[in-house]
Amino acid sequence: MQFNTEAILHRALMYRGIREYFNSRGYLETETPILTESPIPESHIELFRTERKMPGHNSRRLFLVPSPEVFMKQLLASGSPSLYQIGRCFRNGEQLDRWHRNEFTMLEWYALNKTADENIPVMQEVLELTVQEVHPEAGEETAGRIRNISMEEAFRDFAGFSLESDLTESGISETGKDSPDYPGTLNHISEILRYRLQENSLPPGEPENETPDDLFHRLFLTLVEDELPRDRPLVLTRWPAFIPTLARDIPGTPWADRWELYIRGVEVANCYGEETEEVSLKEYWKYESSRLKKEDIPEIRDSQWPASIARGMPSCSGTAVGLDRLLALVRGDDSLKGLDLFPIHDNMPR
Amino acid sequence: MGMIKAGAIAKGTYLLEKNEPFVVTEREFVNPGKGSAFVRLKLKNLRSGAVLKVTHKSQDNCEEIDVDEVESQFLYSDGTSYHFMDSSTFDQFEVPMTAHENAQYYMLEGESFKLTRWNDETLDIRLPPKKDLIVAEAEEAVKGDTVTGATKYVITETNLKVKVPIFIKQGEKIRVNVESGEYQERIND
Repeated sequence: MQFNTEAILHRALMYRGIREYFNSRGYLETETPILTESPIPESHIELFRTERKMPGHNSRRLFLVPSPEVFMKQLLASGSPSLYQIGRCFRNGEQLDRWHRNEFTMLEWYALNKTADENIPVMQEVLELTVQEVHPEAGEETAGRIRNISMEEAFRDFAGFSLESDLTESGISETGKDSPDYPGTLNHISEILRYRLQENSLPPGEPENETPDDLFHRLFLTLVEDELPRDRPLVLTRWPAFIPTLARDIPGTPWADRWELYIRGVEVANCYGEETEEVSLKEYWKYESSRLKKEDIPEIRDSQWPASIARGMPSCSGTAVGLDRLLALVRGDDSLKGLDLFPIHDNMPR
Repeated sequence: MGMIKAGAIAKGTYLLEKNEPFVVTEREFVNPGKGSAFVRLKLKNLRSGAVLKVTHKSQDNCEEIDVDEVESQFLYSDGTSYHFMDSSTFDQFEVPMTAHENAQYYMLEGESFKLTRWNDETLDIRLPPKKDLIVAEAEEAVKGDTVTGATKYVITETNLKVKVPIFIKQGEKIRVNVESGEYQERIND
């Protein structure tokens, strides 16, 4: 069997560079479980399930983690310094195409007392060091300055309308997520987004199955994401706050403190200014749990989680980077194929 | 007409969108991470040739066209339509060139092709992935121009302009990738 020894070496060099970078800046490297009873509460992620056999007892269900977030946040809440981790993550239900695999390596770091925007320079340096490790001959040549575009700018440029005006009109900036008016505000947002879909001759889906974030993604993925400039790495900042995530809201605006990094049009990393308020953590929990029931996925998550995190969660920003994608893109590959060592296959055409 | 989940759509699937027949030319899965899984499609309108970009949630129901495949002989092109003959019924029919401009460069008169038909309408001409064509016009290589990787343009018997290595001569046969129109190799019969 022939292996791509250059790709194996590049990966090793990248990991070495990342560890040196974070170790020298006071981050603590952690290793959290891959096998767990309580994975992160995200209804959109399909999990790999397995079971633990116990002689004389019923077996117990376990999951492969889709991300280390839930564990690292508990370490942060218990008073740890800034953290980083390089670990394998698992997502079921993925089509094995150019940029998707069931198993992948994630770099996740949490920087204390930083906002999401303040994590962009860290991302730039991680990108630079990866380029330096893979292409040492490039000398002073860099990966390119990360271009910074807000979601509002992107919608104005590529969809031709102001998303901020639409969201402000809905009243979401003044409506707390625990307010009794919040569901009505979300309905108002759905109406506005449906109008925008219609205006652009795009399918609105079946109303009973469409959440406001589904409607947003229909617009964003069709009109905006594909049009983002690809000449330099790009972070798309300030995502709509109505998309349920663990990113904190930016007060007085309809936006969440969140960005995603794209390299040559491929999504490589995302970053949140982390939510620390117990009320918001619980609302997120409630929403995701209700979605899990609707999708007929059994309730398996540890419901103590929001409270236990909120008790000590410091102000911080967390970034998750798909290292396989980052490495492939820095190598100049046009898919993850060059990094596959022992790939699994499916029958879908590539 | 059958329903197909958007997540099961592949390149080459025939779809009805807004009452127009399309073929899927590109499909890409997008998992926004914080939202439902989507599939982003690039479609070619099989009547106008226009390109349409659409995004569907993987769970969306789409209308798949149940097509028939008919073996037909290519007779000739009159500049606006291709003329074919059904190989089993010998019926002759025309296919507008509009959505199938590219096919003219890969079909030689008298050759047989599989045509995709739907309600008496020819939706698509199934071209082979590679096609061997004779070079009809080629410039002579300039003496001394032997740099590795040097290229020039030639015109094939079907009037296709192809970038080829400098050593290809008029009358030789070359293999061309039909989707990209790129030269692949010289064929020595």
